[in-house]
Amino acid sequence: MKRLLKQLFQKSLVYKTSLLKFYFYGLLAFAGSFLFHAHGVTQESILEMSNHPQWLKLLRYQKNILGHYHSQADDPNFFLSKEGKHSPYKELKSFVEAYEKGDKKLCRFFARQDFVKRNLNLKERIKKSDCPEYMKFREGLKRVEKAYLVFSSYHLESPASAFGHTFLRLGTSGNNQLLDYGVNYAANVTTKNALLYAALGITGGFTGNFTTLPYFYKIREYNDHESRDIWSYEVKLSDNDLDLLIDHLWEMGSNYFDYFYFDENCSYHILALLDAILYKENLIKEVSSFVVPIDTVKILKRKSLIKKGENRISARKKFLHHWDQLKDDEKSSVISNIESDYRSVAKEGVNKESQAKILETTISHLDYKKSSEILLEDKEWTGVRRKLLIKRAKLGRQKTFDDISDDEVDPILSHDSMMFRLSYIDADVDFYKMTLRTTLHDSIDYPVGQKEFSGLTMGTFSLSYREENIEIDEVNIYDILSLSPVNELEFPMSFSSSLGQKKINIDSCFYCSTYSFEGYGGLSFSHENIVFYFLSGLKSLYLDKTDNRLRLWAGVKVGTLFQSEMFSLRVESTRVIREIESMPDLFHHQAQLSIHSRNQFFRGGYQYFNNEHSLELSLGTHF
Amino acid sequence: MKKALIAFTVLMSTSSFAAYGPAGCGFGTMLLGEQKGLPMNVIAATINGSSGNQTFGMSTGTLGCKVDDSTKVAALNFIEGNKVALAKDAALGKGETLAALAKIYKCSNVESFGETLQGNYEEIFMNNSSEKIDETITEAVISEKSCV
Repeated sequence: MKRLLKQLFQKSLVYKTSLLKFYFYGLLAFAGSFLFHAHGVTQESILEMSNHPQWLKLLRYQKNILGHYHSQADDPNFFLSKEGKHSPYKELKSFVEAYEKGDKKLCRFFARQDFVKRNLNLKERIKKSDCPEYMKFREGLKRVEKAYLVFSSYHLESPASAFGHTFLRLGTSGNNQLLDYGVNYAANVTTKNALLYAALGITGGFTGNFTTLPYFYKIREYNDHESRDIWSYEVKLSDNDLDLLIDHLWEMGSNYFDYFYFDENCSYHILALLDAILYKENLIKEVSSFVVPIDTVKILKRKSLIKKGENRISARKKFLHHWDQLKDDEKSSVISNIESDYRSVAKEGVNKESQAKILETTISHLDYKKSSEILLEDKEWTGVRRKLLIKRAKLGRQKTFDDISDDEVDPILSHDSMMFRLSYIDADVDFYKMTLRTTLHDSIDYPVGQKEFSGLTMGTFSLSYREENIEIDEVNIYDILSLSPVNELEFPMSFSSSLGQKKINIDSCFYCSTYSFEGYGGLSFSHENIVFYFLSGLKSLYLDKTDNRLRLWAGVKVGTLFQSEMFSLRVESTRVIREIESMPDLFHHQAQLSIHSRNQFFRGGYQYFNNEHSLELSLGTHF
Repeated sequence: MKKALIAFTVLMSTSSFAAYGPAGCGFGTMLLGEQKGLPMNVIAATINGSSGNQTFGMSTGTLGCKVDDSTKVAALNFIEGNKVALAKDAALGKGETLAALAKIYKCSNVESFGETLQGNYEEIFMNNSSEKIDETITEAVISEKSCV
């Protein structure tokens, strides 16, 4: 009996305790809700606003496949709540609490403050003028009136910028780009090892962050040092949006992201910056899994968010602009100046205007050819240049060259980056092939807006349907062709290289899987839109089905390429000399024709390889 | 060259270089600085990279320098970062860099400013120091009353 009473008592105690707990927490919740309510913010409205697209975008939240949020930002100080990285709601709740307290931590987050003020009807708690560091930052950017999305063009010589680069320009009043600001997102590269660089760059091994710097550094880097065009597109932003963009940049100050070369790269984060401001456009949703810089410009163009592009031409084009305006005798003088390593002077007896033209063209050539030495202030070359400049200064004001005309082809007119193609191949055994290419352009694709006589593709995958079997036909990691024709003044190197796996018939092995790498270099010669090239190099090949031996061959290539808006044609002959004398040389001849519009094409190809002929017909699209 | 480019990339992505005086600002020095020892620069970059909103120390056009909006510092930074292009435009007596520098000096007569730089070219660009260039330009502009 006693035991029963004790049990009853204990149960009632548990019940009472639970009831007390219930009342206590209920009261707390009520008080909490009242507290927030007193300032016009309810838990419900916080919950609702934490799902607002602008809140999600300002903090870079993304939903994973399980429907859970996580922010791409990796700096813990980017969040106020400890669980902020994974909870937009908890972060907003902590933010509103800090806001109500007037916490100075929020001096870092004026775009977020703007968001809560607008959407939760809160009064201003922290004056901008109470945040001295922020004020200093804004003071520096006080003359900013416009924002431009900037694309610096393809630079095939450097893998990190082979597809170009995008960043922002904050345009100041007065329309002089040298007084503007650049906003860049880049990886903090911590290795000099090329292989490690590639591995870390692809897997998120570097961190990336934003920097704001005088725009002239970008001009000197891209236009002058790397001789690349810089295209600017004014983004259509209201004054409020521009203001918010600058505040959002301030928020990004010390934040960092893990850098991924293919998807979360510079262009992605620059677009995400604009996406947080123009949140209704949902720009980031438009990017594919492989973010090609020019695609981000095209997204803004499709949504009518940018104005017409303006090009700032490269140092090389500046020289050519001068060169094209010279008379024949002036050209000869420039050539003799260059041949003397820029040490001779323009011929005597020519009038001052002509002398000035010759000197200016010589200097432009020196600036382009010796850009590194000059920017590094190499004593010898700086001295040579100074002498030429002194001579030019002594001639006084002269009318020399016309202004640079704005007739460049805008890179946003180029075809889209991904490609899909269906092919029929007439060979010893006929078969069908389906090809997907992640990026970007091969030499016979629609050439408008691309670097002339060149092609760079990465990630090409082909499946074949052959004798009722579906097999992997080709996996190409990269394929590059860069033809820079020689002219009166320069002998630049042309080159081609590729790496990948492909099925071919070779040495009594039919439709065998081969892994190959090849690299060729040489010269090319052009006339208008046709180029002839002569390259020699090495090819290494590995067959996994036969003797497991790596073959190393030498080869020569002779070819021609014609490019036009309607069609392109490439004919190429390769002779490969094998390492074993008893093995006959391999001959590979091919002709490929592409008839195209911007994003659609029909192709016909003929191939002769190792005593066998094949024909290929395909239809494809860029998307 | 490759080393210099890596240093360039690293340095371009760093936040502040408060330890450098005005003479240490700018493009050429940044590249040259690397030759003296990349590891130190990388360490500096890492430390700076974690120091909050210092990232924007450069935003007033004073890369590598303490923030100071005086005309002199702005001019020095501009000259340091644009020396090569400025030397060429000065020799021609016209151009974008002269227009920008005139604006920094608050000189409204760009044409006469250009003529002065061209006329005193040899003296102004006698050596590569940005301070010397700035000083000589200022003296020439004052004595020739180019900006009046």
